Amino acid sequence: MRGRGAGEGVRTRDHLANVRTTLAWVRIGMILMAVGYASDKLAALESAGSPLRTYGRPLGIVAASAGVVVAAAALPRFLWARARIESPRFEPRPWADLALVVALGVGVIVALALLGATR
Amino acid sequence: MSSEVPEQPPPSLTRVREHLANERTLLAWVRTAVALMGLGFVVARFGLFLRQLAAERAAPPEPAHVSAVIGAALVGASVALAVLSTVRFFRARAQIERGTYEPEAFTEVLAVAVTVVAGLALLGYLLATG
Repeated sequence: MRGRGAGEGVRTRDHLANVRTTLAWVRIGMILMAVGYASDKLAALESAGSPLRTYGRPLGIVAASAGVVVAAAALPRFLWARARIESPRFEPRPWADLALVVALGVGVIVALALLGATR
Repeated sequence: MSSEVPEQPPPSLTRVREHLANERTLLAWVRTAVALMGLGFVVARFGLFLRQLAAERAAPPEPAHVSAVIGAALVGASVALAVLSTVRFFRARAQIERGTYEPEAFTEVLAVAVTVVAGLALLGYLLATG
């Protein structure tokens, strides 16, 4: 029997949960891209000397890049979990998840720095 | 004796939860499509706003219609994802009823590809408009 052995219904729900987790990662990537884009474009509108004018562009590029990394990493994570669900044992990969969270953390820290810069 | 024990529990045991999981998955797809739509809308409209502002005061000039093209492509892609995921919802629904669910990957690959390509295009555009 494929899946972790509790019946076809559990395997189906595992796969559907995997899809939802992947989509959640992709959405987070999109949000980082939007924050980066807005930061880069708003920086040009600030008056000279304001922190956002100085740091908005590089921080925006970093946030958008983090978004691309998070969204791209969601695909190998999805395919890996999809294959693992079909096998009898599901071994979580904390290091791979940690790498994703680090990329995400970079984006979030940048977003917070941008919030501070607009004060 | 043991051959009488069914290999799998009857579908009715988890049938309801499978259908609800399928429905949650469709809603996650719709949320993702709406987020992509929002991203496209922001990119398209913000570019327009910046061009207007550049005309009024000394903001850096925006290259015409790059934002609009990226934004429109994102909105179009989000509609495609919403349609594909709805087709998938009904396919999974039928498979759950038959107890023969098969995981797919096409729509997920497409969603990630669209998002990554859009992100790279956005990055290139941000770096090009100094």
